[in-house]
Amino acid sequence: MDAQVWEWRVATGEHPRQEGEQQLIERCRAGDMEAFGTLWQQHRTAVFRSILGIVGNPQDAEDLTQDAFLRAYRALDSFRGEAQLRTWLIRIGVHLAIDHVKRKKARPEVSLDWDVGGGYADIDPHTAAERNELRETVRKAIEALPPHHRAVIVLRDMEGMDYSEMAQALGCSVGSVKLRLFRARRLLKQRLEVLLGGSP
Amino acid sequence: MKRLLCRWVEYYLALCEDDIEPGLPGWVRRHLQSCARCQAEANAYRRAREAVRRYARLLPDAPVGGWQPVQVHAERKQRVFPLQVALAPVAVAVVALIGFVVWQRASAPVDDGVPQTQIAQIAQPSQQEAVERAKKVVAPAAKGTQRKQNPPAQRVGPEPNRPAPSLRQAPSPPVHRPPKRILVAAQPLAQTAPETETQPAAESLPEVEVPVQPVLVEASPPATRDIPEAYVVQPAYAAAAGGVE
Repeated sequence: MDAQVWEWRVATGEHPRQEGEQQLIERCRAGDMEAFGTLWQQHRTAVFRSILGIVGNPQDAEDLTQDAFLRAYRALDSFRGEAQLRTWLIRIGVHLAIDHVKRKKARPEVSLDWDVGGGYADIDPHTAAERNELRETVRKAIEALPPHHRAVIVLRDMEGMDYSEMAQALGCSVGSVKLRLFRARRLLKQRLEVLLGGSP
Repeated sequence: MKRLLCRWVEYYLALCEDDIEPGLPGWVRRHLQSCARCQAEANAYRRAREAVRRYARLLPDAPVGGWQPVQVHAERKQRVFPLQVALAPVAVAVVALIGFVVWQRASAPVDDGVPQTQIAQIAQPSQQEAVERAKKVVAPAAKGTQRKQNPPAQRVGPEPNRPAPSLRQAPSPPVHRPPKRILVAAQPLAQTAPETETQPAAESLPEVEVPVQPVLVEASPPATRDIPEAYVVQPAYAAAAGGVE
C-alpha cells in the first residue's frame, strides 16, 4: 500500500485494522484485494504456524499457507460467520496440511538454517545448540504421530485453542477432540521419554 | 499392569493443562498423593507439555513476502473467465444433439434396407412363388422315395364304403394352424396298369428309372402367409384320390 494513502487513511479514520472483521469480509466479497491483504496480515502467522507444526517443513508450510488463503478467498462466499475467521482459516490450513502429509508420506525435511525465534545471532552458541536439539527432538516426536493427532497437539499446545474452537477447526465433536488429544499426548509422552531419556 | 483407577487418572493427567488443574476431581488428587506410578506419569506429562510449549515458541513467524503470490492468484482468478461457464453451452448443445439423434433413430421404422414394395411381396407371395417353394422342399425327399417303387394302390387304397371326396369339398384350413409339417409320397407319372397286370410284368421289365412326380400330401403354410386352398391337401383326401395331386 502506498505510504501516502496509508497516512491519509489513518488520519481520516479509515485504517484497515480498525475495521471490523465482518466489514473486511464484505469488502473481500466485493473484490477488494486490499481488504483481503489486511486479513492476510492478521491471520497469516496463525495459519502458517499451524501448518508448520503438522508438516514440519517451512517451505511446504509457506506454500500451503498461500494455498489456504487462496482457497479461503475463493470460498469466502460460503463463510457464514458461525465460527471466527481465524478458526475457519486454520481449519482450511490444517486440512491442507493433513492431506499434504498423507499424500507425501515422506519424512518432512527441515533445513538447517531454519530461523528459529528471530535467529541465533544474538544468543550464545550453547543456548542455540540446546534449542536446536530440543527443536529436532520435539519435531521428530510430533512427526511420529498420525496427522490427526499432530493437528490436535498443534492447535491445543501451539495455538492455544479451546476445545470448541478445535472441534470447529477439525470438524468433529468436543468429545472426539478430547479423546484425540488424550491419545496424542500419551503417544507424544512415550516418544519424548524415549528420545530425551526421561529428562527433557 | 495398570489398575483401572490409574487409567482414569492418566486420562485426566493427559488433558490437564497445568500441574494441578483447578478442575481436576478430588479423587484424582487424592490418588496422586498415594500412587507413585501415577505421580511419575504426571511428571512425564508435565515434561512433555513443557517441551512442546518451548518448541512452539521456537517456531518461526510466517514469511513477510508471502502475500504476492496469493494476490496474483486471486486477481487472475477474477480476470480469467471460468472454464466451466465457457464449456456449459457447448455441453448443452452436445447433449441436445445426442438426444435428437437418439429420438430420430427410435421413431424411424425398421426396414433393414428392404423397400416397402418388396416387403409387401414377401408378405403376400403370389401363387407361382408358393408352388415353386413347395417344389423346392419336396424335390430332395422325392429322390429318396423313388427307389422303393411301391405302388400307391398297395399301400393306400380307397375304402369301398366311403366315397372319395373331391378336392373342392375339402374343408377350409382351421384358424389355428398346426406347425409346419410336410409329408411326401411319390407316384409314377406314367399311368400304370391295373393291379393284376402289373404284378407279373414287373419281373420281366428291365430296371428302368421311372420319372416320378412328387405329390404334396400335406403341406401347411406358415401362419403368416395365405396360400390358396388348392395347395393344401389333407392326407386322407390324397389317399382316397389314389395319390392324385
